[in-house]
Formats: sequence, C-alpha cells, structure tokens
Amino acid sequence: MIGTNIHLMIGLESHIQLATKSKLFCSCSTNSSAEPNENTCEICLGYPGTKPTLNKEVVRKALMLAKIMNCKINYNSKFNRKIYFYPDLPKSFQITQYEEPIAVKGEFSIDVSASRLPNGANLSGAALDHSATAATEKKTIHITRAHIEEDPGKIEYVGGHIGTAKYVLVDYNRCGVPLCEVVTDPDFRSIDEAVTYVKKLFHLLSYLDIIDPNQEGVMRTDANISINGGKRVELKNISGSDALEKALKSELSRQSFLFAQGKVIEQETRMYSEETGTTILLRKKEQEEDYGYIREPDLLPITIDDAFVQDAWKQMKKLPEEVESEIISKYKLSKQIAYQLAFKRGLYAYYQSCLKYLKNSDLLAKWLVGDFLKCANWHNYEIEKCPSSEKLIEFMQMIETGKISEREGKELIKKMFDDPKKGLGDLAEKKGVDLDSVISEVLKENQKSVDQIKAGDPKAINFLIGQVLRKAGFKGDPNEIRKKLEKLLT
Amino acid sequence: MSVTESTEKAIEELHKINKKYTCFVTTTEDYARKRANELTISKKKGALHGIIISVKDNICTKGIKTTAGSAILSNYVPTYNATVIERIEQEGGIIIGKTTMDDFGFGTFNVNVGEGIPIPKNPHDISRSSGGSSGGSGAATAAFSSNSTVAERLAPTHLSLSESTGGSITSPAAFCGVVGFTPSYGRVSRYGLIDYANSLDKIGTMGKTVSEAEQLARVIFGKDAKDETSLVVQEKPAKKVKKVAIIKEMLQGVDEKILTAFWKSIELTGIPYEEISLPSLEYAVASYYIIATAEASSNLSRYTGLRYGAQEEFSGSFNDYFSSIRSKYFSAEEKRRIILGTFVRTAGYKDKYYLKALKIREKINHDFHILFKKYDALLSPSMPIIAPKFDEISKLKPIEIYALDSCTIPPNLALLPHLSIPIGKVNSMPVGLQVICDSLDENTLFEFGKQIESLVKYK
Ligand SMILES: [Zn+2]
Repeated sequence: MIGTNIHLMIGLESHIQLATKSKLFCSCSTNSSAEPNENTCEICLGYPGTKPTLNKEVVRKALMLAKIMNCKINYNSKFNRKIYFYPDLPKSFQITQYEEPIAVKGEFSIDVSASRLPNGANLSGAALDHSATAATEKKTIHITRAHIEEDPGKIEYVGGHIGTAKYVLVDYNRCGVPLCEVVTDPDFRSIDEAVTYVKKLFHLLSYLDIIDPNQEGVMRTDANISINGGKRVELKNISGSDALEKALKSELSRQSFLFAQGKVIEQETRMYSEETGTTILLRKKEQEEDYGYIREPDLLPITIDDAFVQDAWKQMKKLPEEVESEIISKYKLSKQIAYQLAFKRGLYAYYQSCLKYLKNSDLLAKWLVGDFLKCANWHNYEIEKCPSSEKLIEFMQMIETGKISEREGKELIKKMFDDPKKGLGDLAEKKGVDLDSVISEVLKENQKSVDQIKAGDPKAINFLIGQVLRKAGFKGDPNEIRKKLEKLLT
Repeated sequence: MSVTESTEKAIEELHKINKKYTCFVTTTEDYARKRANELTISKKKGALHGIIISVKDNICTKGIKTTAGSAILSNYVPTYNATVIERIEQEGGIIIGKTTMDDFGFGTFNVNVGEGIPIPKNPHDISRSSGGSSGGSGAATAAFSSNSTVAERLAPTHLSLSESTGGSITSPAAFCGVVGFTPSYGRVSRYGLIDYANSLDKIGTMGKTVSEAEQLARVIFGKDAKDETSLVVQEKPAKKVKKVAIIKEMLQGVDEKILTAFWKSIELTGIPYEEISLPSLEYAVASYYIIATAEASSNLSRYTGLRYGAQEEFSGSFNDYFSSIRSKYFSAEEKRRIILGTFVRTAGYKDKYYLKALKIREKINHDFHILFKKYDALLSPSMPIIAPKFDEISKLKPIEIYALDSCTIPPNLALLPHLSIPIGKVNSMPVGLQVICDSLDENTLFEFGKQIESLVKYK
C-alpha cells in the first residue's frame, strides 16, 4: 500500500484539440467522422513544394484558452520544426511552438477535493449531486505555457497493439488538426488533484466551445510523476480522466514498490496499458531523441495586437457562473436548479429552445435537471446526442396536459434515450397489454360487480375500471376502459 | 508567324539544343503544342503570349515530372502547379520543358545530379560546366536563338524560370554568358518550389538581356495567399544610380583576369564608385552553409519512400525501410548536407552553430541596410572563376567548391535583389558582373542593369 510518507509530485501536459472547421495550416476539414485519408491535401500530406499558412481561427481559440488559464499572452509567438521520423508524420517534422509559445505563466484554480466537483462531470457530463454550495478549498495550479502545434496522423495497429501488430495502417485525417498543448508546473500533490484538474479543464473548454467534446481523443494528456524527490517518469498519451486516474494509480504503486525496496526509480517514458492495468516502458532517458529544433521558415511570427485579443475574447461564450445568474434573474428558478441547468454544456440553450413552445418553465426545468440529466449522464451523452428538443417539447406537452402520469414520464424519458430513433408516439404506446382480454378476465373474476351494474348500480363500474387498470399495469386510459365496459355490460 | 508555327520551330530547336547540351530532364513538346493551340483559339494576349519558357526542375508542374535533380524524386509527378506556373500560364507563356539542376540545388556546377538526370554542358565549351545549381536554365538560355535585336520575330523568345538559394542563378548566368535575375526574398511566391532552404530560396529568371529577364520577372512578382513569406510591394520609381560601392571582401580570391575584366567594365560605365570594406562578410559563407543545411536537412527528412518518390518493397521496421530508401537514393552531396545540417542543429551544438549563424545573418543584413543609405548599388564580379572543365571539378574538395560562392552568397544571404550581366570574356569564356540593389528595389536594379548593358556592350 501507499505509505503516508510518500511525497507525490505530478505535472501534466494536455494536448487539446481546438474546435475549428479547418486544419491548422490548410483548408482540410477537421471532421473526425470522415473516411480514412479523406480529409487530406498536398499541404497536410507534406508534398514537396507545399507551404503551410496559418488558420487565424486557431489563434482565436488559443487566446480563449489562454484567458481561462489566466495566462500572459505573447504578442509575438513563433513556430519551430520538431524533427523526427515516424510514419504518421508526413513531413518528418511537426510544426510546433518551441521557443516562443503563444501563452505563458498562467493560473488555474481547482477545488482540492475531487468529490466537490459534481459527480456527473465525468469528462462530458454535468451535475446531478449538487454540492457547489459546500465549503470549497481552492488550489492554484500554475500553468507553465500553452502553445499551438499540429497533430500527427493516426496509426492503427492491425491485429494487436504497438508490440504485437504485424503491420500498421496510417490515417492522415488527423494530421494537421490544431492542438494547443497546456503544460502545468509539477503542482499536483495527489492523483485526485490531477484528475480534478483534467475534469474541470475539459468541462470548461467544451462549455466554451473551445473544444468539441463530441470529437474522439479531443484531449490527450501526458503525466510526469515522481515520488519523494526522485526521478520523474513520463506517462504518454492518456485519453480521458478515468484512464488518467488508473494510469497514475498504477504508476504510483509501481514507484512506491520500488521505493520501499530501496531501488532507484529511473527517468523514463512509459505508457499505460488498459489491457494489463499497468504502465509499460517505452524508452529510457538515454534513448530520448534529439529533435534538432529549428525555426519554421515558411511561417511568419504570429503577431497579434490588443484589438485582436479583445475581439477573440468578445466571441467567447459565457461561463457557467454567468449563465447561472442569468437563469435566476430571467426565469426565477431556484439556485440549485439554475446551477444544474447552467453546468451541463448546452443544456440552458436546450431549455430555452424548448420553452418557446411550453407554458410551464418551472416544470420544464425540473424535468431537465431531473430525469433528463440523469439519463444523459448515465449514457455519458453530450447534449447533441440527447433526444432532440422537438421530441422533448412533445414529451412536456404530454406531461402538461396530463396525457401521461409522472411515473409514465420517467419511463418514457428513459426510452427516449435508449431508443433514440423511435418517435414519441411509438415509445408511449401501451405495449404488451391487450385491453380487451384484460377486461374479459376482470369481468370473469368479478361476477358480483357485473351483477350489481346490471342491477343498476352505477358506482360498481368504477371498481371494475380500477381492477382493469391494476391488471394492465396502469397502462390504459380510464375513459377508454369505461366506454368498453359500458358497451359490454349494457 | 502564328503561335503554333513559332512553337513548332522552338520544339525543333529544343531537340537540337538538348542533344548537344543535355540541359533538360523532361521536354514537354505535346504540352507545348496543346498550349499553343489553346492560345491560338483564345483571343486573350497576355504579357508572355507565345513565349517559350523553360522551368527549373524544382518548380512543381501539375502532371509533369518534377525531380529537383534528385534520384529520390526521379519518378515524382506533382498533383498541383506552383503559383509561378499558374501566373505564367495565365499570361500565355508556353512551357517547353524542365531544366536540369544539382540535386535539390546542392551545387555550383550542376554535376551533383541523381541517376538518370543529365549534366548540362556549357554552350560556349562543352567540356566545361554551365554552372549551378540552375545549370540547365543557364545552358538553355544561352543556346536558344535570340531575337531580342530583331524587330520581326523569327522564333519566340525563350526565357527561363530558375531559382537561387546561395547563387544558383548568378553562377550559371555568369558561366553561360546570359543575364540572371534573383529577386528580393518575398517578391515571388515560393508555393510549389521544392525546398532547399526556405528562408533563402528565391525563384528568379534568366534571359539574354536584362529586359528579357525583367519581362518574365514582372509576371511572377506578387503576393500569394499560399506563401506567407510573399510580400505586397509598393512600387517605387527607379532611382538614378549616382554612387556605387565595391566591397573589397567580395573581390578576394577572384581570378586576376576576371578582376581585370571587372575593372574594365566599371571604367566603361563611368559610374562613380567607392571601394569599401564589410568585415562581417568574412563569416557569410559559413553562416550561409549552416542555415542552408540546417533547413535542408529538415526539408529532406520527408523523403522516406512512403508516400511519393522512390519506393521499394516494404521490409523490416519503418526505421529500417526509411534508412534503406534514403541510403540508396540520396547522393553523396545530399548525404553530406543532411549530416552537416543535422549536426549544426543538434542540442549541444545548436548555440555554437545554428543560432550563431542566424545572428551573423542579422548582422550582415544590418550592415547592408546601412550601406544602402549611402550607395544606390553594389558591384562585384559574379563568380571568382570562369566555368571550370568537368575534369577540374572532380579534383576540387567540397570546401573549395563552397568557397567559390563568396561573391554570390552575400546578396543571397541578405535577401537582396541582384543581377548577373555578361561583361566580357576570359579565355573565350563569359564573365559576369553582379549588380546588387536595396531590398525590394527591383525597379532601380533593372534600370541600372540596362544602363550597364548598353555601356558595356557584351557580345
Ligand atoms: Zn490538408
């Protein structure tokens, strides 16, 4: 077990894919759902003679990121070539900012206890357990730098992984997609802190549309971890906060074990294997490549002025806290509901578009932060993957008119998420219940009541309706049952 | 004469010339005929209407093989046109072929060529080099018949699109007795130029006269959205050149007979001059080779036999495969520059070489900038020697060859526009005068060049 005398230090380098329509240096689309190598051109494939030209939209997004990290903006940043050979790198160099990054020296505040971040905020989700009002202890994480660079292509290891695959396939769609790498100081003192940071960063970046959380691998993190002032080990390319937590835990126990045995922890690069649940050695320090960085002579320095920075920041969406206040003042909702409605990315806009066709804003909010959000988080869905607002409006109208009960409503929302292609009518259909056969059964079992009705007691029919409903699992319209019974008994 | 007829005549001449001087890697007769027909049908008459253009083989031409003189690209056919090619076609120029060159521009004599790529012969003496790296362009420009003095066009004028990194236009222009023009960095888009050293590469032109070189240059000038380093230039009228400077450091190591020819031409022009010293030039050649090879080694790292160019049956790991392709298809000179360039940017040596070379370049640029406050132009011999014989070249060490760039490197490193103008002959071989003007002041350069041309009267 990890002893109490272990002093842990973690620093993170997150590769964040900025949400732009086109790539960093060419006009190819960044859409990740394209066929392999569909989104490529002479430039991103590095054909001889082609030259990169900077996509200014990337700079705007990077400036937004710099703002939320409270970084100092570099008004004159530059690109370099990082030269190494790999099949996913068409030019055999990556264009990155090495000497002069676009932003430096930032600060990012996190709540030191991960439990204080709402449970639902699992790399795409929002809050269910609202605990933002609990006393929070803030910790500042220092940001070393943030720089812009191009993503290499993607390698598919056919029939195995890096060690076992016979051959690989290369997909250059991702090649040239804009990344912003955010490097922290080694400020994290626990795994929880590191995981909290990644969760919060992911949530904020997607909330502000700086990244598109629906794209695969949109945030990949390298972690530097050391214990008791020993050598640091770099864990490469970890996607998502769950994997980060597992990777750090596994590496911490490996290092703690070595430390307990009095062995030396060597400086090396490792990767986390989901298969074995352990970290695997990639290379030792002596095997580290020298990248021979030079200036990128085809690109001008990114020269920006205050007007450009302000313009980029003006285009930024509101932060969750700002949205929360707006909800409270505009819709007079409770702080708790407003918080949850504001926290989940896109939920407030969704709320507003539904409300145009509905009367009861309180009721809508209650359903959205309730069962709707519960299902979204269970499925780990971004708002785009949730049932459409048209569907939800139809649903809320059924609730508002009393066409379905609250209990039926809860069931129906679940079905809307489970079976997104089906229309609401189909989902709400009382399936599996043949009302006529239930009625004939009930009539057989309650001869006494039948006799009473035939004798002219009108109240007895209510008892029979209740029996039918119970037997049908409350899936039936009482008026319809009454009509059917009256027809049979008169 | 119609464009179709004149093009046929030019094709005939092309075959004769190429047989004698082997200055083309690829000739494009069918393409030229097709273009001539299109031009005949179209009513539009551009600035290059019907003019025959040869293009250095490191400039990408869509559907036409572009080798950059290297075996590793000997089968490479680009899928797009360089911006300069688009502009030439828009103005009615007819591309007749791709001229041979040292691999990726690595050379001064056009003898460093990949397998299957011809070494051009000097039209003044086929036992001699036509210079490099744009040797094919130099030889073709000298060999094609001229009409610039004939009022009625007998054959279309031939012009050549070439390129210089450290002197690759001036060297062949001087050796072949033609005019070579190298623009200021940024005046011509490099989009589609296969990179040697991106911060130094400049597409320029060659013709028999300054006016001819200028005619093609005017078509390719201009900002291009595809090349960030290309510039929007506010045209200023040509200055009258009143005072020129001759830099002593650029006369060092120049052959005595060439010096005599140089001074004689200065005398003929009658322009007032001052002899001055620019001590920072001592480091120009070293600084140039460090920056150029550092960039070149990164540019050449993309040739791995994976996506285009030379390919072989895959075997082993990707590292094994890349190494085998690069070992087999890169020439000795390519390997030399890759190793040199990788060394100077390696951690531990980078400060000492690459970063220091960048500082020297800045210093030299600054020194030139100061000079142009006082002088309107600078003059020097184009090359320190006349075109050497092929058997002499083989005896030279690489470092001796690099030293021959001492006249051409200063303006190339400082990204200044310059011309090489033929001024006379030494041992029956042409000698050139190099004229350098201030950055982006091509107008003065061309006017001054024409003035020199008329006063010196080279034949
Ligand atoms: Zn592209």
